[in-house]
Amino acid sequence: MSNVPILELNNVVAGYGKKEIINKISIKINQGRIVTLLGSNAVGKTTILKTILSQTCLRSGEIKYNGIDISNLATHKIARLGISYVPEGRGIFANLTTKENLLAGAYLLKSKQELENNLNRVYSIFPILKERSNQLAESLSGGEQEMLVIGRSLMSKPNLLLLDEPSLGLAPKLVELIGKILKEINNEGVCILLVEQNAKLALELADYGYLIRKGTIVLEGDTKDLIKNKKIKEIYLGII
Amino acid sequence: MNYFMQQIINALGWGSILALLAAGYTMTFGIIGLVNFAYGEVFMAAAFAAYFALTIFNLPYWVALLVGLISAIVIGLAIERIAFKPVRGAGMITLFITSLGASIIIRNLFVMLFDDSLKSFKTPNFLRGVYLLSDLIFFKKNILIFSITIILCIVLVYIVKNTKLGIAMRSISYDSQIAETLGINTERIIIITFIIASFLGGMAGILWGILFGSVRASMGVIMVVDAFIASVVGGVGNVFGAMVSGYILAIGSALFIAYLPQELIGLKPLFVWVIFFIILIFKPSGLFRANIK
Repeated sequence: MSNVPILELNNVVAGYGKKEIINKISIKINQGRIVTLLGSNAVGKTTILKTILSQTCLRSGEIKYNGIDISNLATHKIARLGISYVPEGRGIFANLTTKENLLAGAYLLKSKQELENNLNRVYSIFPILKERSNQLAESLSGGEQEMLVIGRSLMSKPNLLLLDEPSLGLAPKLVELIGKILKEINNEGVCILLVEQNAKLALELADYGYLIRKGTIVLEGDTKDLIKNKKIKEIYLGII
Repeated sequence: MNYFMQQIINALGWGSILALLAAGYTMTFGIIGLVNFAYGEVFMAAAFAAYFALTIFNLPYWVALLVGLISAIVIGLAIERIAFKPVRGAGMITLFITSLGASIIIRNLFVMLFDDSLKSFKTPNFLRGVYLLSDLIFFKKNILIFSITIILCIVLVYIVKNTKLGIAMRSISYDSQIAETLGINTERIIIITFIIASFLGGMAGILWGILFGSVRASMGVIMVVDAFIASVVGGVGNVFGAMVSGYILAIGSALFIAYLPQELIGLKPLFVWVIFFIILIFKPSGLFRANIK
């Protein structure tokens, strides 16, 4: 396995229009790792993900993917490099069926056989999606929609998966299932950058974590150390 | 009963043209939120190009058709690059205003150069006359126009429902940012959408010329509003819905005045507006599923 980190952010400053949201963010994800971004609402976690995807205004700093500078690359080209995104709040196409959403996720695939294989794989991970394959995505429950977005992101066989609050608003059992699936995917070699407010899920899953506050990193470390950290316990009292 | 059926059959010509226009209109409406007032000028310019190819250059019919369609695509893309691309993302109202500006400029250019009179040309021989089936009269023109439209409809619905392009278009219509993250080159798909929409508009313009045996500089203005209404009635971004609505509005208008006293025939344009308001009150999302958020 290569020594170059799969993703690297160096002193990234970014925001929307004139407004700066994240300041001097430096993050590193090594090959095969799960990294988590923790923090409460509106601290800039989503902005970090969107900046990786070139969907914000990058003021300064650089973003590298496998050593290649992707700082100003067009979003669809970034997807082509093998980066998949699971947006916050489901982000399904409500006007398409379940299956069509998955097909949209397979947009970059060239062979029909590959598409068929990946579709069957997603169906085996989330059997309910197969059951609802011809239903409009908007008729799915919240949990099913989350499964759909995750399934959609897997259709392209990504190398790096960016997830934005996958556990938000979901029942504990489903959160557990998603955690299990993410672990499995990671075991197959997919790197994961997980943005989460649910610190328990994040720290159990990830190898390394960053605590974000007001757009900057206030703490970082191996998750086994972060779990013991007093500051985190303070902030997430009751969850750990 | 025969009178009733005859009205419907007669309306199929104009209904087809409206269906094509509505389909093209709804495509760009759905994908970038554009209420395209200039679409009527693509329609008109294609008809004029075909007219000139036919009458001034005396080219054969199929060449005139090709000239018309290519002109439609060129003009449609030019309008997109000049009037819409620079303000993409500035909101529906801005896009509407620039489309209005483009429409006024192009239309008045044509009026200045060619005035607003009817330019007629001879109907080709193979399209003259009628077929009789029991007591019903079928104009050959209408049969051709209807057939072409139905074929295009089938092809279009197939593309939208069963191809990668169709999924890309519908995804972008709903959420273009997320579509981009799936690797979809939204810019390229938007251009392809404009090409298809311009093709449909151009075809509609040429068929209009065939139907009425004439073209005029103001022909786009009347039709574009009906196309807008048909696309809203059908569900924004829904190509099938737009085409069905085009036929419903045309046939409805024909039946509407067929049963009115002679003096009230001028009320024909009122029909589409009545349907429009009824839909907006009872089912504002349209008769069929819209493709926007």
